[in-house]
Parts: sequence; C-alpha cells; structure tokens
Amino acid sequence: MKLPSLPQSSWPYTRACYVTAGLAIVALVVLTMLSPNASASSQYHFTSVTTNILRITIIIPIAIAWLFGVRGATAFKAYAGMINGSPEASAINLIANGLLLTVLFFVVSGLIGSLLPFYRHSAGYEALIVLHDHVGSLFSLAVFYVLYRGSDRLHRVTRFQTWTRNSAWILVAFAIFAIAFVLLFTSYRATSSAGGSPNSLTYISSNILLITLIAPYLAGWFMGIITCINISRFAGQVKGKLYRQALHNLVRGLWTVIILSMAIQIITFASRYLAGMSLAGVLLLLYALLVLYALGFLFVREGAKKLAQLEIIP
Amino acid sequence: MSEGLYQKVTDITEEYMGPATERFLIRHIMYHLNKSPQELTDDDIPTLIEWTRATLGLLTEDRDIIDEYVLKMSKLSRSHQ
Repeated sequence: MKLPSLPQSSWPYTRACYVTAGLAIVALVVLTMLSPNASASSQYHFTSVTTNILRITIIIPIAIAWLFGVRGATAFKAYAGMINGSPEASAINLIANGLLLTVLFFVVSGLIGSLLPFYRHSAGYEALIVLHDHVGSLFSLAVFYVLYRGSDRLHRVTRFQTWTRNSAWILVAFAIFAIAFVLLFTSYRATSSAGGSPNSLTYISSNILLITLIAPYLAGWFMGIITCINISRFAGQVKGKLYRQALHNLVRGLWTVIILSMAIQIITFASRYLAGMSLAGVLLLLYALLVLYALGFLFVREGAKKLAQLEIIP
Repeated sequence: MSEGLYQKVTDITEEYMGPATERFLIRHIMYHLNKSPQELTDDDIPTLIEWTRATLGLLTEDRDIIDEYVLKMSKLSRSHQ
C-alpha cells in the first residue's frame, strides 16, 4: 500500500521571492537616495539632510510592507500547494496568485515611480508618465480580477450567496463613491500634484483618461469589494468548526490587504491628481496604510499557517 | 470492509475539519492504521479516535470541541458493535 506523501510545508519559489524582494529593496534605496527630483525639496525649502531623512522615512515602511507581503503571500501559496487536487484548490490557488500579484504590483509601481525622476529631462518623459499611470491602473485591474475569480470559485466548495441585502448596500455605497470619484476627476484641471510631479492629465484629456485610467481602477476596486464579500460569506457558511477557526485570521488578513490595497491606490491617485493635499498629510496617511497593509499580510501568514497545520500534522 | 463506516466517520469529521476532512482522514487511516479508508472496520475506530484526539489537541485549545468530536465518534463505534 502506497502511503500518501505529506504535503510540502513551503512553496518551492519562496526563496526566489525573498531574493527578488531583497534586490528590489536595494534598487529602491539606490533610486530614492540618488533621485534628482528636487521639486518637492525646493517647494518646501528642505535642506539636503532633511530631504535624505525624508527619503529614508519613505523607504523603511515600503520595504517592511514588501517583506511582509512576500512572507504572507508565499505562506498562503504554500498552503495552496498542500491542498493541490482538492475541490477548493483552484479557488485557493487563484487567491494566492492574486496576493502574490498584489505584492508584485506594489514593488513594480514603487520602482517605476522612483525611476521616473531620472528621465525628467529626457525625450519621451511624457510617454513614461502616461505609461506609469496606465500600468498602475491595468495592473490593479488584473490583480483584483484574479482575486475575484478565486473568490468566485469558492462557490464550488460551499453554497453561499454573494448578493444579499447587505451586499446591495455596499454596492450602493460604492456607486456613490465611484460617481464622486469621477466628478472630482473630471472637474480637476491639470496642475502640479502635491509632490510637484506631472501626471497623465497634463498630456491627455480627462475624457479619454476616464476610459483608459479611471474605469480600470473602478472596475478593479469593485471586484476587490466582491472578493471581500465572497470570502466572508464562504468563511461564514463553510462546514468545519476547526476549519472556520483556522480561516478566521486568513479572512481578516485578506480583507485588510484588499481594502488597504484599494485605499493606498486611492490615496496615491489622489495625491497625483487631486490638488489641495499637503505632502505631509499624504505621506503620513500612506505610512499608516503601509503599516496596516503589512499587518494584513501578517494575518494572512498566521491564517495560512493555521490552515497548513490541518494538512501536515500527522 | 466498510465503505459505509468510512462515510459515517467522514460525516462526523466534516463538522470539524470542513473541506480538509478527506485529506485529514486518509492521512490518519493510512499512516496510523496502515489501511486504505475502504478497509476501515469497527475495531479500528478506538485507535482512530485516539490519534485524531491527539491531532485535534494540537490544532485547538478548545477542549469542548475535542470532547464533542470524541463523543460522536465513540457513539458511532458503539452503534456498530
């Protein structure tokens, strides 16, 4: 009789992810510290020491968030590998892929953002700005689509309803937010953002950007909300007292990561497009969100570890 | 051989382990009883209870849940004797 092999407790590409994150952090440090972008410094009359301290305070929370993201996403991916072949495997695997993409999204957009100032006086800088903004919105859409697809497949494991009276209210709230967001964007006239950097509105009309930039963001955020609803409903309906207990931290972590990913994208977008936000205010808010974001991945890791225990304790 | 018995064990365990039930039981039966799930008999239930009790103790600190599971499995064992 052939005994079933015990599942692997780590994902084979975990080390590669940490190495990539480490290299990305080194690149972020180099790009940020050597950044020729002096617009914010001159605007706020910062000395070079103050500018460097400010840069370090930006790098540290971002690096922590990236590392926690890799920790949480790889732990969840490892759990997905453990249950390979089971009815819930494809759903969990897609959600794990979505989490990995979420981390990749922040790493890529962070690095591209810190690369831009080096090309400020180069030909094609406008194209780079537009490309940067659109890569962000399309990547966000792709990430939330993968997460949504995964959460939707949870229907195959347990019967639960996505659309209830409560989800309808959430939908109404999102519709109000979306309308306000579009109105704010269309009423905005292109000026320098809080950091003094140009944005796509400087080069492209808001009507076009509504379709190419705003629509993907809104569609992505909408799918993020549906993902949260699906995951909560699944956690409430799935059989298994101990399974539900193990799922608790995971659900809390996924909610935090998804909602904060949306919040970070909204704040970043607002700081680039909506005038009137102070640099200090934006930075403080982003620091707080990044710390909470890292905390969300900590919950994901704890939840994944707990679920993995169900699979590996002989 | 009792596929019906294995199904009853699965039904009880599913209340606690949810989607992880099949994998959990197959692992226990194959590793600790050296059998396939279809070969499970009434005589194996007490041993299975001891192993699953030990494992559940590692998964939760809630003694009530463990006692409840053990009680249901013990009743199953008695009803088959």
